[in-house]
Amino acid sequence: MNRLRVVPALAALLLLAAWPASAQYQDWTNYRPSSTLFTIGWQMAQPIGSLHDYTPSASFRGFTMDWRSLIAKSASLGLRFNWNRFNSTFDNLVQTTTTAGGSTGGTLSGPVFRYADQFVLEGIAHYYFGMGDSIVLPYAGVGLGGVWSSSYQQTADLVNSQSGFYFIVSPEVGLTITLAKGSTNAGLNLAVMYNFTTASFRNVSNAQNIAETVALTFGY
Amino acid sequence: MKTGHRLLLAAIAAAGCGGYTAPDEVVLGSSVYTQPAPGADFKPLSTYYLDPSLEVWEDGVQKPSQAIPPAVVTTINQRLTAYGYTAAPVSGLPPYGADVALRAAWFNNSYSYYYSWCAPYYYGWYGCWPTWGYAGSYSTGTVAMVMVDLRTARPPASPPANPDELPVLWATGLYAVLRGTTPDNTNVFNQALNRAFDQSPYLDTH
Repeated sequence: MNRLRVVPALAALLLLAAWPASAQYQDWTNYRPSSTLFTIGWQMAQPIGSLHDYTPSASFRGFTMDWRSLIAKSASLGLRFNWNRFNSTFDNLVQTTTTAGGSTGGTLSGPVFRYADQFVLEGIAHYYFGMGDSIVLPYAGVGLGGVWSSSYQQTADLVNSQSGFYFIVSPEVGLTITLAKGSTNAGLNLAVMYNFTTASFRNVSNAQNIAETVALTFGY
Repeated sequence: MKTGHRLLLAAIAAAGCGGYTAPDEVVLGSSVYTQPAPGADFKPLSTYYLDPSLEVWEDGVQKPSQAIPPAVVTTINQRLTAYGYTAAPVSGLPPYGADVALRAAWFNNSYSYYYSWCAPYYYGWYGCWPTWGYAGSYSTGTVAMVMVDLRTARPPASPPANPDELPVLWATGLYAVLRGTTPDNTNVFNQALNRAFDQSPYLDTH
């Protein structure tokens, strides 16, 4: 076979084989609106109310992960999991009790260590303001679901713990700052939410907290 | 991986995983519980008797009693004197001649248990004389002490179930204060005892 004829034929084959890859590359970089959002990030929280009395320290070890599907141009539904952990140590905590009849009860004093874990699974709904080409996308939303609460107290060699599954509602406001646009979009997600739960243990009634989220959001 | 990145990852891991166990100051600390009997009036009291023997219980089994360490006796006498009590000359059993008696027991246990030989007088603590009990669990080195009413003409109160028993007026539990095998190391014991009297100002008869 003539070598001068073979080389152009091979080159043509390689060019044809490369055609789909070129098309895919263009598709990756072409912007299209997202229909699914996935968020993963860090969360911190401050206890309020009776949960603050129980563990005054803020949680700096929270985690959040959610999935949202756009059901309309500016609205989404999805699921969210998050976790926050509050713990405090008291050098000398004095606790008092009252008897059933209301008389003077007992007094317990000593160093105390406490923690409260909250594992949350919620259905979430969000509305986005100005969904379009803007870099900053504010939103408001709410989550409804369940929280598994686990709490623990220890003083010297006395240990006590409680756990249970409770209701939670979490109104939230936030914004997404677009970092990259393509067929997959990426953005920085900043949000603040108020968590109201029916979790009650020890002297805590309806444990509540304010949580802040710093996360990355990916849109497909 | 650079050292800085490793340190950062270690710090993140420590922040995420730490805090699930109590710090040493809590684990090795001592806790003090005190409780007066509901409605107890300590003002009319003036004399006391301190039983010099310390009951010893190991894993729920009573062992031969030991003498209360002298330093602890001194603390109890000083604190009761400050609250207006005087040591009474006693005769017979129960120690007639005193308004109240104090008795202590040392629990060295490795497991939880429950016993209540006496009538439940108020929540948690059970009391009578000369024996007594507690519904709950101890780990190690707990000392409990009760003050019982010896007066023959007592004011109306919840009567003990057994006529031979005497009502408890005040009880204290000193948790994790005697961790050794002898009651000789009294520093923590005395500190806890002083806290028990500090947080029971109603004992003052003045």
